[in-house]
Amino acid sequence: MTRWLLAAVPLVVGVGSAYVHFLNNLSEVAFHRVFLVCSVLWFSLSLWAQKTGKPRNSS
Amino acid sequence: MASRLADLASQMDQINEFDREPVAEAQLQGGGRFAGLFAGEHVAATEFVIGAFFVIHGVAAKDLIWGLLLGNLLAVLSWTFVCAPIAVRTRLTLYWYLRRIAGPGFMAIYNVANAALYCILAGAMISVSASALGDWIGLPATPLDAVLPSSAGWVALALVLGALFTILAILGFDSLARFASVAAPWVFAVFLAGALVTLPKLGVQSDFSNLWEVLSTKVWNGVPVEGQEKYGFWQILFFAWFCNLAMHIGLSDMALFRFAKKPWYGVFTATGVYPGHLLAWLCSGIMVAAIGREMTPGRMAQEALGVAGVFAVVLAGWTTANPTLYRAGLAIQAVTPNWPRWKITLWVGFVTTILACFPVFFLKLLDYVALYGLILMPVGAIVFTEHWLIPRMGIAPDPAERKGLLVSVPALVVWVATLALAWVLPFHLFYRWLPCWLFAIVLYAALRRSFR
Repeated sequence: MTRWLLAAVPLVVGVGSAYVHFLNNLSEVAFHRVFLVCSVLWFSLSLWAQKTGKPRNSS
Repeated sequence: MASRLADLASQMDQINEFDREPVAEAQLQGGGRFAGLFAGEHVAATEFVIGAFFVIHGVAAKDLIWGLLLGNLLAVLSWTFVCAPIAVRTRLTLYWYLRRIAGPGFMAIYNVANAALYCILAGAMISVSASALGDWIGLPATPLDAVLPSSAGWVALALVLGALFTILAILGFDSLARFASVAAPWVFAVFLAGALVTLPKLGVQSDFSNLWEVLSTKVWNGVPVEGQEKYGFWQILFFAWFCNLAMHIGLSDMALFRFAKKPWYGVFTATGVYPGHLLAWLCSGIMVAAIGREMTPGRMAQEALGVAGVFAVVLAGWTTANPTLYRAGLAIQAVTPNWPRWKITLWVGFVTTILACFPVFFLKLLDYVALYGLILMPVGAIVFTEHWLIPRMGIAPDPAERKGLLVSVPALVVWVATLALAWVLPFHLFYRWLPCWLFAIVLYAALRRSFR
């Protein structure tokens, strides 16, 4: 569970950075970079969490 | 012909052998499990296209929101009151239950139809991914009325992506499925973030004070793109209701709900349909409005999210196409005796890739989704009637199993007659399934009584 919570952080940061951009406090180019990094981090962390944690949705 | 059909049926039985028996008590799952299972179910590449098409078809904002809220509610109720109760009472997959009712030969025909429909859906998803990459590398946009590929570059891209997706599917479904399962939350984040960053481009102020005004005048303004049919509340309501018709009214999701402890667990489908078929569609509508209402999923995601947006569309296309290729392979396994899994996937991938070269399948995705549900819906009506009405009419159930029939004639007649009626009904395509479903129920009950 802790691993999944950690993996979710980049997703929250990615969507949060979109809101910061919406408020005009982050340039478009900077937002695109932040979102790209967050995306890479999400896949890395969630695959790690999936590999080491209990598999999800396996009925 | 009959012996060939019997052979196919026997092969299909072997493939589905592992879930032949009703689910045991110890295998039943709680509600939380179902809420989690459905949560990522309806966020896929199709959402980039469907939400955008609502804008192109000139839906008004109020019609869209009410249509989606109520249409999705009807879909959830269909899972809860039609699909889940039958699954919980029988604890069987649709395959085995329908086999008892309509016979193994009928199942062979159903499987082939299903495989063909899956191939078209997977082909459309490859087209969506190809269009995203094509926009990125500067290929000309495909016109909305295109049927044939618009350039050699498009064909090359569709062939390369189709081949790549097929090879990945051959290499190993399990590891790829694990990767695909973590893609769904990210794709949902892509929709949310993409819409949020697009709002200022449309003129929404940072305190959201003019949000409704912008949405109702610049996004869903009630004016269709030239040459496109205008959609209103009823089209949206019916679309949201039937876009998973094969799963709820068509009863495909009996495979999942046979594990449910209670029939009301159908309500948990709401955890998937409202994020996917409401929020994601609204988000893609906002994104397409900012690029001049052009059907270019890749460009709309790129404008919003940069290169991550392009990869989101490509990846969403792949994660949707991959399990669809797998399902098509499973369905077609029955008619490919003794073929290894890789060979089946290769042929399914080949057919799918050829279909992907024709942009018509993704440009007419709304109509295709309607047809997909319509074609499989009569089977759900047959099972529904057999389960609930036939015992009340004093007729013994499961005729094919009792009489050892290869094909139940009433079931086959109902399927063909319902499709024939759907063909000639003078209604909008989106509305045809409901009268046809009622027709199929009445006709099947009448035929069963006369064939008794």
